[in-house]
Amino acid sequence: MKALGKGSIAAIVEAGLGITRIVLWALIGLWAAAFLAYLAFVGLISTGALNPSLAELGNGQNLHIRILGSDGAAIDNVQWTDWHLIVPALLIAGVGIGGALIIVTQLRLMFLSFRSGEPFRRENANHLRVIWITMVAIELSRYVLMGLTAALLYQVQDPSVSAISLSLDGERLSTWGSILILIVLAEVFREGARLKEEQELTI
Amino acid sequence: MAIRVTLDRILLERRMSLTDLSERVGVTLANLSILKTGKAKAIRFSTLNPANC
Repeated sequence: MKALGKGSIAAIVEAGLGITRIVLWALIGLWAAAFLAYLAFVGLISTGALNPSLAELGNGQNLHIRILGSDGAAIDNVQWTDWHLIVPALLIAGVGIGGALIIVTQLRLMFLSFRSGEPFRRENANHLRVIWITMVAIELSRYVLMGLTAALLYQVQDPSVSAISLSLDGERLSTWGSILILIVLAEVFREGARLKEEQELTI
Repeated sequence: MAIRVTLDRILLERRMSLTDLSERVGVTLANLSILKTGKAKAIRFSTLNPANC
């Protein structure tokens, strides 16, 4: 399979990145609308403008939210008014979607450069650097928001939560491993771009 | 010690164009332009002494 041109791997990946970018923009729009709607909803209930019974889903059904990742404690019977659970969850989702959009945008820019025939450029090293910094920011903000959730749960003293734990499981370690690989690749790319620039400016 | 390229000043003093210089020394116009603008990072031995390389 050829590297460039119609039907090449690059063309397929670029099309995939384009579609992903559109989907992520749509998700950001939905997320922003949901976040604002939720804040307005909670605000109206707390001021008494809305009846609190509207927060119940009917027939005894409630939201089911699993926090702290795959191995985290499951918290059942969450009401719409449990802002201390829903707001951090929405923020974690927002950071994830926003970060994914930044990463996909940078990857797309790198692919455009690759298709133009000049992949070893300083800009591409910068794109890689933005990608790993974004990944670090997403991971750290997850920890901060999880900690915030735990603090809020402790303050509210939610009876459905018996224990809160933060752990570095295999999934998270692989994320940090990927970040490390990206850091190395970004620096290798930067050095490659520098050498190419030097070669071009050798007379 | 920093290396300063004063090619543009010398060309002006001798009333010579870059094209003339290129023809006289056998270095391409593109390479002379890189040298003149101070962007050059290195010079090959073959550029310094084309007869021996």
